[in-house]
Amino acid sequence: MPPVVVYVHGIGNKPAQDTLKKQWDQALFGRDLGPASRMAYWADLRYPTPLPEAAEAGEGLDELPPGLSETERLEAIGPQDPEEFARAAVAEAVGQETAEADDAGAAKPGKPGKPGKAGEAPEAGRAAKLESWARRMTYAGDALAAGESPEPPSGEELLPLPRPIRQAAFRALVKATLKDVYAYFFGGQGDAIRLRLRKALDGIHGPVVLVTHSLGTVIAYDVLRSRNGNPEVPLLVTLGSPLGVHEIEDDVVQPLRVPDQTRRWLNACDSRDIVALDPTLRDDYRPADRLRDAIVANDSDNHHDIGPYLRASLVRRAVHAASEQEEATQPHKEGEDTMSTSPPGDPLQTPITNGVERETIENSRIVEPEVGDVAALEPSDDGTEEVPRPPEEAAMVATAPATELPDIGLASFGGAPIEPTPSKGAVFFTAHAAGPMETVHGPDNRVKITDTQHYPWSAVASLLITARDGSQWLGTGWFIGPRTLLTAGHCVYITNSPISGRNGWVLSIQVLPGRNGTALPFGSATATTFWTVRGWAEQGDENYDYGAIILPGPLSTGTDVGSFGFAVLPDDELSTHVLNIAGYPGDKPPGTLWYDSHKTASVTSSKVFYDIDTMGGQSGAPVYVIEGDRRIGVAVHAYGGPTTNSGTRISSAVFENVQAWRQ
Amino acid sequence: MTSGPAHPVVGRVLDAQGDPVSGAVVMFSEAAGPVQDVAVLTGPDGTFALAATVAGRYRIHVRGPGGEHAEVEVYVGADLPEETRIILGG
Repeated sequence: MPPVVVYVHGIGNKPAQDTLKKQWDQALFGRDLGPASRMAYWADLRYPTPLPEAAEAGEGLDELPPGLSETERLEAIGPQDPEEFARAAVAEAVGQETAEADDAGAAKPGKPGKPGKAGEAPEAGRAAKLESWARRMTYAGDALAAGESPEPPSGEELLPLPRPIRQAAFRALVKATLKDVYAYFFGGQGDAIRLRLRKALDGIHGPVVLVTHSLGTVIAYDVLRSRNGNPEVPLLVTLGSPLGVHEIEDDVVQPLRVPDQTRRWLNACDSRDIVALDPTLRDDYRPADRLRDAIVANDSDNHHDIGPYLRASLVRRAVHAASEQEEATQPHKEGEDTMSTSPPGDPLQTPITNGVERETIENSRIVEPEVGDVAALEPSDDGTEEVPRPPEEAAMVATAPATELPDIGLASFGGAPIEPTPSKGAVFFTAHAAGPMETVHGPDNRVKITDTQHYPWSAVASLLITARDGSQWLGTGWFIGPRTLLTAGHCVYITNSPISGRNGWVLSIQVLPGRNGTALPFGSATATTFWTVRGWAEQGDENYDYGAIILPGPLSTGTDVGSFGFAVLPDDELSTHVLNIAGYPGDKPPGTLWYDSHKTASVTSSKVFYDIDTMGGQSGAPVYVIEGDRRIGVAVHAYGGPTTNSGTRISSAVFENVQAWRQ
Repeated sequence: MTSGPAHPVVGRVLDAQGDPVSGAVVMFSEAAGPVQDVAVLTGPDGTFALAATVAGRYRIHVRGPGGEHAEVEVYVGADLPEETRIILGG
């Protein structure tokens, strides 16, 4: 189903709804889209008479009478002094004649959601916040005017735009912005304005590409974040947005997140756009990988008008691509096994799921980690975790005897017991002379983690897996998003098992993040939706042994436990890295987290090998590098081997799938 | 690399009195080839089933619910018994 393009315009008066919609169509697509696009029009709630049809998109900010000289125009806009101007602009926005009454606190505070009345003022904090933003916009506008139109040295007229014109353009923008922003947040018109967008979305049964501008970006954000039943939004475009301005961030729907239904968010602005004083959103809204900031040129007088934004090639390309991709998309299917479009190259990397298919998304080569709601631990400078080894354990490792375990040999078929572990696993797993240990090679270097309530340990989860035949298994997973864990393919889909009735999707996985024995600092969740790829499910090929667990909702504690990043690293870089693994081995006290690190042993295009001690139960654990304080997954631990252990490498194909699975 | 047909390694964990031990954690601690790094829990009858990928010598590690450990060595191949019994705390 082709997407409907829905526009949300910004501040200031506008031409009539249909005219404005066609102007946006023309600027973005070069033609009238007809019913394939809609304008969520709200200017009539603020301005009784629309601008004439001939007005270009973006006009309507300057309400001064025509015929004024530029200097007169500037004077009419407000006081020359920036501080005075900002104060007066805020006062005017709230219906006051001057700012003095505001300063004196004579007026009653207004309330959000209540109609604003002339003579009322927002409470002191709100006014101060608006004034702070107004000052910053004003100073920025003045600085731009000075930079773009310097005073001529000899007084001759400077063409084409002397400073007063430039200054007037910016200051008109400041005033218009404050008026509509005040009306939206504090003047009681927010609900009515948002309703216009809700009505525009109602009745759309397919995906929606949302293109928004200025205050329209705030409206769209609030609606998408606060309403259930929104359509899928494969692309949200915000242009000249104030969503990065901290005064605005405080008043939109919290916490600051990419809306759930929004697969990609493109935020574009001109760095000279004073409405978008903070031009980047990725640093504030999570998850950052679904959000892309872009700086584009907007050569309108105030660098904020919509026309140049819509005509920017970057914006047009993104909107066109989203429209075309959606058009080519097969309808979503419910079913036991659904299959999405095969990535180019390797058909065995085609993802499959027992849940509902989601579209793949464009990506970079790295998805950044997020700390979440928990405190983060500082890593060491050498690319490993700062984990103190208990003195007694350190001594045991240092003195681990090279003696072998009792040779039970063939007699063990009968179940002959061996000696109990002397005291610590470190001794027990010392290399056996009769053959190398499978997953612990030489002395056991694993260190027990106890402060699992802190990141990154909070983002590692103990898994209790129930297979199709009812058998139960232990594994490990790691968060790559609020609801998504990466793990081994064989933790979510069992293949090649000789046991009757076991092969296929596992029935359920209980996910226990940051588990420490019987302590569950973040509660648990039970998942029944999983992903893997055909190479694993159909071929049982260990080169494709990876999968994902999709949680049905937030953890029982509601905590965001943070997530690991993940990245594709080139061979030469990966080969020289120190790798880290943390997981829940079955030979240790139940549900305890253990960590070890070592340099990469070798890499292939699909596997990473390492001499890091692991044990059964650690399948699915993160194999990660540390860059600064960022934990970046590079492989999924999956196999123990006679000489080295190994994981499925995050190659480009794996990255693409994992990023698409991430929720 | 495609994993070939797996060899089942089926066993039962018993306590010193010969009673089945439920909830024991069983895994390979040595293997002749790469093995999935999972651990299986014994069922109510103490049974478990792991899958070895290639023929050769394997070591099975068991951790009992009470923290007791045991290991046995098995040779996966034609002579592998139908059930390997492992006694905990014997």
